[in-house]
Amino acid sequence: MLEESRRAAVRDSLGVGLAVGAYGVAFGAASVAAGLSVLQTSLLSLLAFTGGTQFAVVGVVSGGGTLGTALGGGLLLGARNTLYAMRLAPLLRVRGLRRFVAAQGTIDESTAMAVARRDPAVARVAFWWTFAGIYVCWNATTLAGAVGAQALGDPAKFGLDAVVPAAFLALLAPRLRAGDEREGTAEGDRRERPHHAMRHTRRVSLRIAAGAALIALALIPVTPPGVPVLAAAAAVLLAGRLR
Amino acid sequence: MNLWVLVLATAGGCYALKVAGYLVPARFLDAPQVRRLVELLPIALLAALVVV
Repeated sequence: MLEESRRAAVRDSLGVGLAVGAYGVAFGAASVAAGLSVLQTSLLSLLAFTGGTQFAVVGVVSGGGTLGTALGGGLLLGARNTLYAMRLAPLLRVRGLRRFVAAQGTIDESTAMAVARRDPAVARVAFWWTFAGIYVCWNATTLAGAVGAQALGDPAKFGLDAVVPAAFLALLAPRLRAGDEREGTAEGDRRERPHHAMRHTRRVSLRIAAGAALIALALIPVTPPGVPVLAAAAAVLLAGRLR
Repeated sequence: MNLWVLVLATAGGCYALKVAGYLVPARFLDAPQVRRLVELLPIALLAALVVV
């Protein structure tokens, strides 16, 4: 029985790895289009290894933003991995050096796949196999996308500039649909939470998203690239604190 | 902008953020403000990034 659910977890995890890894082509192409070299692009995927941040950083570069705004937006987005790590630490029970390997694999998908499992042993299988699958695919496809974009020349001609907002939308949509489901932080208490509380969470998420989008849109014409995103996040969080 | 500085700072920063989660005490998560903050932050950032 346990063997069977382990095998199922490996299968599911590798499936997610392949599906998500395909986005690496879009990242590789967008990054080279923004002006990064193939080596810099690959290093981002190998070392930063967190898609949302990578897309955010090259997006600001491509818009002509500053180092500070690119780094600021990227790291703020990467801060969610800290929360995932805190959630995963007791589940993975990693100690010593293994903690530093597990840390690199702590991203949206591996967290979601792990916390969705009831059995901690199966959750650990899901985490490591999702990490491995995505790491291999994401880096291979990043390289393919970067080399491909370099060979093609101007990526705007091929509509590749449209993949970046699409990638963000793909990351955002599940968060809005499921409230805090993907965060993996409230897995335990979600079951006990009444339905109206979930609806409330979803409403707050939608309002936050709409507010952030409006603020960013309003600031685009008057601020340097990268600033609208940071300002939108700051304003929305401030509003959340005041309430 | 120096792209090498950006690439290495992004890589180092992202890894440090991940490692930090394994090193801080778990009770840090118990504070509702902290949970709320880290749950809503990606939503705000991603929504803004879609339109920019």
